[in-house]
Formats: sequence, C-alpha cells, structure tokens
Amino acid sequence: MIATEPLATAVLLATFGALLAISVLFSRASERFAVPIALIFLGIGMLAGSEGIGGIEFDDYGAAFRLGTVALVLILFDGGLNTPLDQVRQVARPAALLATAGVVGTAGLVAAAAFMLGFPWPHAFLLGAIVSSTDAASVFAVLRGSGIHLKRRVGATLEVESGFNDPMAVILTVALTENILQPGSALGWRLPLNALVEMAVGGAMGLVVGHGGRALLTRFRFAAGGLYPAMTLALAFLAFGVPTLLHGSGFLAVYVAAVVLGNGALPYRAGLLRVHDALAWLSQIAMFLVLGLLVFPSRVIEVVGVGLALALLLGIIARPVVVALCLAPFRYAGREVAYVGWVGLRGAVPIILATFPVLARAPGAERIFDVVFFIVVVNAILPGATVPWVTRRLGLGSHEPPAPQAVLEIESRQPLEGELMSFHIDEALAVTGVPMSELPFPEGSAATLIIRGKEMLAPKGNTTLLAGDHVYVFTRPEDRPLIQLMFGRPESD
Amino acid sequence: MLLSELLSPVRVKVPLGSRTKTDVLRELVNLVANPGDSANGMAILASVNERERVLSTGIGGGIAIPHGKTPLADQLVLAAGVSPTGVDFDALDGKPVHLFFLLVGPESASGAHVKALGRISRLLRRESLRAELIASLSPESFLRVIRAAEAS
Repeated sequence: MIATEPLATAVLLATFGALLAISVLFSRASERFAVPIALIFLGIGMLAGSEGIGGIEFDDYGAAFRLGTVALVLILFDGGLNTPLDQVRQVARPAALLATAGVVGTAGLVAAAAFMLGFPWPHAFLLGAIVSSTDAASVFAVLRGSGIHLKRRVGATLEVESGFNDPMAVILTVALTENILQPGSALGWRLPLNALVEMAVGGAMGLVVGHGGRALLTRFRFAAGGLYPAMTLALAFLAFGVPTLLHGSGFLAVYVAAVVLGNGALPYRAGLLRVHDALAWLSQIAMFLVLGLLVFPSRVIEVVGVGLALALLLGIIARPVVVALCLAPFRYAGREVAYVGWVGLRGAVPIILATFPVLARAPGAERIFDVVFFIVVVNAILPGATVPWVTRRLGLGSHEPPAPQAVLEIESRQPLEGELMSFHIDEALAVTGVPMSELPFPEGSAATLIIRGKEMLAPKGNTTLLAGDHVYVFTRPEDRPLIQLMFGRPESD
Repeated sequence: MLLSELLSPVRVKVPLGSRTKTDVLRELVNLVANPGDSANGMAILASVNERERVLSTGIGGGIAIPHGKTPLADQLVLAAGVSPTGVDFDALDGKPVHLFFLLVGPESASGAHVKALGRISRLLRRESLRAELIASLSPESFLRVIRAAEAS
C-alpha cells in the first residue's frame, strides 16, 4: 500500500470514486432482478474486497461502524423529512407496538432458534436483537422499481415502524453486548428501564432539535441559499450526537427531529429535500460498499447452514407471527397483516449493529457478524425479491401514474401559504374532458400549467383537460380535500 | 342545480348495512342502478372502482364521495347513505367513513358532474351539518337536513 501523501489520498479517492460510479451505473439492475438495491451495492463491495477481483484489504470494523452510523443518521433524517405527520399519527400506535414489543418478540424467537442451533444463550439473544429491526427503504425501493405504489396505511405502517424500531434494536444490542462481557448485566429490570429512559430522552431531544431547528431556519437569514442545507445537516448531526451523550437514543431523536422539520414551513424546501435525498443515496451506497468490503465471503460460507435456518425462521415464522400478534388490537385486514409480516425486510442496520460486539471484543462476535450478514442477504432475496409479486397478489398495490415530463417547484426563502401540486389526469377522474371554466375551483385555487406530452399549455377557460395530461394546481391547505377529490393523487406524494 | 333535487328518498339509505369498502360501494350502486338491469349496475360499479383506484374518495372528516362516469348512466344521479359504525374506506386521513355520497352520470354531463362534487364538498365543510346528517334516522330526515342547508 502507498502510505505517503498526497498519493494515499489520491488512491483512496480514485478507488472510492470508481466504486461509487460503478454502483450508480448498476443501480438499475435492482429493477431488473427485483432485489433491494442495497444488495447490488453490497455485492459490488464484496467483489472489490480482499477475496473478490478488486483485492482491497479492509477489516477496520471501527471505521465501518463510524461510517455506518453517519450513513444511518443521514438516511433516517431524510426518511423523517419525507414522512407526513398525518401518516405518523395514523399509524403511531401499531407502529410503536411493532417497534418495541415487536422487536423484543422477534429477537426472542430468533434467539430461541439460535440457542437450538448451538449458540449459548447470551450470544443467541444478541443475535436475535441485532436482526430485529426492519428497513422500509428497501421495501419502497423494490416497489418503486416495479412501478407499484403501496396502499396508504400499509405503506405508512411499514415506514413508521422502520423509523422507530432501529432505536430499540440498538438499545438491545448494546445492552446484550455488555451482557456477554459482564455476564448478568442485562438481567432483570435494568434493560426495560434503560430502554424507556433512552426512548424518552431521545424522543424529547428530537422534538427540541426539530422545533429549535425550525425556529433557527425561519427566523435567521443566512448569507447564501446553499447554507440552508448546511444548517439542516448540522441539525441532523446534533440530533444524533447530543442525545446519545445524554443517554438518549440518537436514532430516535434524528427521526423525530426530521419529522418535525419536514412537516413545517421550511425555507428553500424543495432544494433542502433534494440535498438530503442525495446525501441519503450517497450514504446508502458508501455504507453498503464498505460493509461489502468488510465481510469475508469465505467466512460467511462457513455459516451457511445456521444462517439459512435462522433467515428462514425469521422471515417465515418469527416476523409474521410477531406482526400478527402486534397488529391484532388494531383494525387491519388479514391480507394487510400478512403483508406487513412478510415484507419486513432487513437492511444495513443489522450489519452495522453486528460490528458493535466485534468492536467491543466480545468473544464469538465475529461469528455473529458473519451469521447476521448471511441472514440479511438471504432476507433481501427471499421475502425481498417476492415483494412486487406479493403486493399485486394481495391486491395492496395502488395505481401509479406515469411521471411528468417536467417538474415545477416553488423555491422561496420565506415560507409561503399555499402549495403547488401536480396531478396526472386519469381517464376515470371527474375533471377529464371538462373545460377549465366549468371546474369548481375554490376561491384562491387555480390550475396554473398543463403539460401535454412535450407541450406546455396555459390553462384558459376553454382549455379542456385530457387523459394523460399533467396539471399543476395551486391551492391552499384547507382546500386540498376538494382538489384531491377532483384530481386524484398528487404526484409529489 | 340543488343536491336535494338530485337526491330522492329511495336513493338515500339510513343506515347502510355494509362494513367494508367493496360492500358499501356495491350497496350504494344498487341505489342508483336500474332495477333488474345487472349490466347497468356492473358498469356503474366498474366506473366507480376505476376512480377509487386512482385515489380513495374518502376525503377525510368521515366523508366519502365516490363517483364515476359511464355511458350506461342516462343522467346524473346522486345517492347517499349513512354508516353509524363507520367503514374503513382507505380515507386520506385514515379515519372511518360515516357519510357517503355516490355520484354517477354520463360523459355528456361531465361538467355538471364535477360541479356537483364541488357543491357536495363545500356543503359538507360545516361540521355541524355532517353531525346532523350522520344522526338522521330516516331518508326523509336526511333529505330535510340537506334541503334546509341548501336553503340557507
């Protein structure tokens, strides 16, 4: 390895640049094979690694953990920014139950199976805890690739659950790792009490950062528009760092802060969201590349039997059973329960959590890492690749209109009253074939632009909306129900 | 055009018997379809389902206004129903729907069709009116409430 600067940095940048470019180029392969896109990045990382064609030596679990944590913070923050508050409210109770009791239940069932497969109890519990959190982003990525939109409540449940369950999995993993180092430390009432404190502190700090951040962004005027995303990035890091130092759950705080920020008026909103979307993608690629580099495929092969057994148990028995129990008190249709149970895909969180016991030098931790890695990969393929099929089969997909040719957004430093929404004009809508002058727009709402194929049209009184058009409607929040009754689903949702 | 003129006691059902979205749509369509003409009912139901496929017409506040356009409808007709227990209609606010208005008409009446949608949604903005409609015990009292609201 070249150790002198600036060559070392040049080698690092050239390598990372090449891997990043390859990952972006191959991203559409996930649509073709209907596997979570993360698996593609992970595969590229493995190929580039010490046992692949790239031959890059990398076994720094510490660096992987740090990078993974930063990446998760950015991904959770982006997820929170894009989660509508009414969606959180709508599914708060089932999602909260899934994210707490559900995580513990899944961890318990996997632990029991791991014990039967020969792991001692402390290791079995740790393994269960590590694989217990879900990743909704993989589900949505797979669905988006196949052009399906998920029914509102089912999608919301999966999404909010995955935003809330990482904290619980982190708390359990940390406690159970300590339990291996100091046997008995996680027993009794301490674990649930700690979890409660972490959640409370994390949730409260998230609200503080979210509301404080919004005040900061709207009251102060920064020197340039580009400084606004710098401030939101700072808020994301603060939301993780400060609560973690105060024994709160940083991941919960990040998600909560982002939901608060995303649901209020923000200066340069569209631009901010785009920056965080890009950061989340970059994080996702970097994280999976590094995790792919970190793993030794030859060691993972040794745990194929155990890994496969646990992955199947997790996907086919543990998750569906736990979900059915957690959702029983709420009004979910049977097929919705089955769906949420089946598509509880695992993402990067388990792999990053699995580096934690390795870093803590817990005995047997490397074997756990290998098993976890295998479970996540199998899980991405088995329930993962069936997601589009199952969605259609259970009739939980909703109609997805084609994307518009052009996107119009309002950018403003000052938060504005009212919003600009775009709609795809479907044959079945009431407005199709009706001249503008006859549409009952509420006072203060109007169609502002029609995009028909490659043409932009100004909506005049005698302009008639045709199926296939995209129309931009300006409206006030209180008139949204009527606008959506007339025009259907906004394309930005 | 007044809603009370589009409605009639035989096209108002209080209470609705259905518990699911599929059933309640069928129950409402039965109120407007030509009796004994199953093709007519099927076409209306299909057009209404087409629209629900785009986005639920459960616009929140316990209201749903399913609607559809089909050549088999010979004029614009409105039906209504009340479900005191509520139906999970995949509404935009996720809440159960209590108050249903079904609007069906031919393509040729699409202007009047969309105007009627606007009228219904504007009228139902008043929460007291919604509560009064949900509390009504017969089609006649339901219509009386609508008539009084439109007169004021």
